[in-house]
Amino acid sequence: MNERKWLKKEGAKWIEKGLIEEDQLKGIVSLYDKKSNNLLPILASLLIGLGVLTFIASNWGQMSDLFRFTLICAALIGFNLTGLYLLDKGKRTLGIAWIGIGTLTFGAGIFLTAQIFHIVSYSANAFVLWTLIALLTYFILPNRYYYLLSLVIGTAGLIYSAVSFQSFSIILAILVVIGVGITTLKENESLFYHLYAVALTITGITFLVGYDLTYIWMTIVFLLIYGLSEWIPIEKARFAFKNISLLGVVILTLVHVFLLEDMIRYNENMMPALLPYFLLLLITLGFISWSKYRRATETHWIDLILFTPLFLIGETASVYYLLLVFGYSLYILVEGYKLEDPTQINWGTFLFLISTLVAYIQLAWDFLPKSMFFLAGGILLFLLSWYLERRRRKWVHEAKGGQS
Amino acid sequence: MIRKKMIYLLIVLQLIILGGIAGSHYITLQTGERVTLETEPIDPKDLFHGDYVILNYEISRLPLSLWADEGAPHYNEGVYVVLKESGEVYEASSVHNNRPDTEEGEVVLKAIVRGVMDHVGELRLDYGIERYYIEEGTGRQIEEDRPDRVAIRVAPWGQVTIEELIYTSSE
Repeated sequence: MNERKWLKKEGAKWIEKGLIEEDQLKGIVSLYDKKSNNLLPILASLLIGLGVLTFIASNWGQMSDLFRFTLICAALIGFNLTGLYLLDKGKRTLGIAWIGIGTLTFGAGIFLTAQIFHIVSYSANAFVLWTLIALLTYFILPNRYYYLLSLVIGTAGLIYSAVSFQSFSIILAILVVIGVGITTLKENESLFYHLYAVALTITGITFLVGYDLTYIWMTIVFLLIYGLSEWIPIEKARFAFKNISLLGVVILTLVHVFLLEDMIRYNENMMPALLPYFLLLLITLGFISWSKYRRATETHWIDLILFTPLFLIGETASVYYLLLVFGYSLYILVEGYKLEDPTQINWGTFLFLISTLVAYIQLAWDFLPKSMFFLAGGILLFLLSWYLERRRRKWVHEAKGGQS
Repeated sequence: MIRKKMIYLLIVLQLIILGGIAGSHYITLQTGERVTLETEPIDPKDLFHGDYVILNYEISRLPLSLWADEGAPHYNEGVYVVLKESGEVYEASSVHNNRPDTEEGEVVLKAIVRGVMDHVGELRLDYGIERYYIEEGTGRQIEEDRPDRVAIRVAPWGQVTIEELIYTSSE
């Protein structure tokens, strides 16, 4: 709520109660006068900016190369200097925004320059430079916007080079994993640890795409993130990495349920090279076990069964994967009720519902007429969710000490 | 105030990077060796894909027999293609793992292996000059004129830039 309005409203009550005089209230309200900033200049500059942009865009083709290039550089300098000027004036948010636009202009500038000279770069080099500049900007002016900017640009670059030319840029990966990693530690926020873990997952996926490796390797990627959660001494980071790695490996297990059977049957080369796979699996598992053993509290040993290499069994592995995720979610659910831990009950409920859904699709799709399939599935899930929700509410209610 | 100086430095760094990209290609255009390459007629279905034309060169598909080194080329690997002057245009004479020495009338282009087609004995390559950006709406004209050659410039340090499209068939 607007401070002035609030003050006036509450102030009337204070006068009524004889806490302050009317003049005093006026004095207090006047302190907040200047804060009501005028939005019109910002809107005006936005409009002018849009006008200039559309003018440039519609005349871009007719401009000479030199003029275009000068324009890019001028925009880059202009945005940055305006930002700097605003920072000097003490308008931090606005200044940061303008310098951020400058960083975006730099990226756009690389691609527009490439276009002027008809360059197709079959690499992520443009993104390497762009991420580097975004990271440097962050280190000079640390704030969450530049953090997100470097995270998004870096990850987008990895995805772009994987999708467009199936290649993996090691330098860009280092910038994302280490560069953005350091900035994540500096920001030290739960949400950002989650985002970083997602960026690590994407780095893993693009690595597999770039080196043409089977998706089964994702188990190792998630196990490594899990290992990271054991290794890092910051509680928030632990929690985030564990969340993402478990969510990831559960999704992967469900993917196995759908894909693995056909893939093993029709594509014999889809198995990972077993020696490096098991070497990595055992080393990481060894480290995690050692860490869990040493800490001896809240160990959640059960998590590790999700990483079991059941694909070795062959075609029938998908059934076992289904049983695995069922067993895991039941265990989490029961354990959650036992410990009266609402978060764990929620997570267990979610997992259980999802695995039921998957099991149902997998088993019933072929046997039931399609309309029956959806109807019965809907009813089944309704009943299940109703039952679980009732249990959950009861426990969460009791866990909170019986107050509602 | 140190921070202010750092931001100034950062702006200069960004300008140097952009200037470096533009400058090196500009110098390539001015001083590089002019090489004319045959292109296949432009595929109209690529034309309106964006604001560029996709160029298919004769040297984008080479017989595997041109491979001059041990072993075989791999997907996504960088290779070097030697071009030899043959009449008005340049044609590929060999493909190497490492940058080979050249003689008079030869240039070397760096390429990325896009496919090794063992069954037809063909090597597919990308050179980074497969796009020609055009003004929006001029694609149809280029399609009708059917450029069949492209002039590129090759800098002494290996950089390549498209100079112009050449139309010989429509004359």
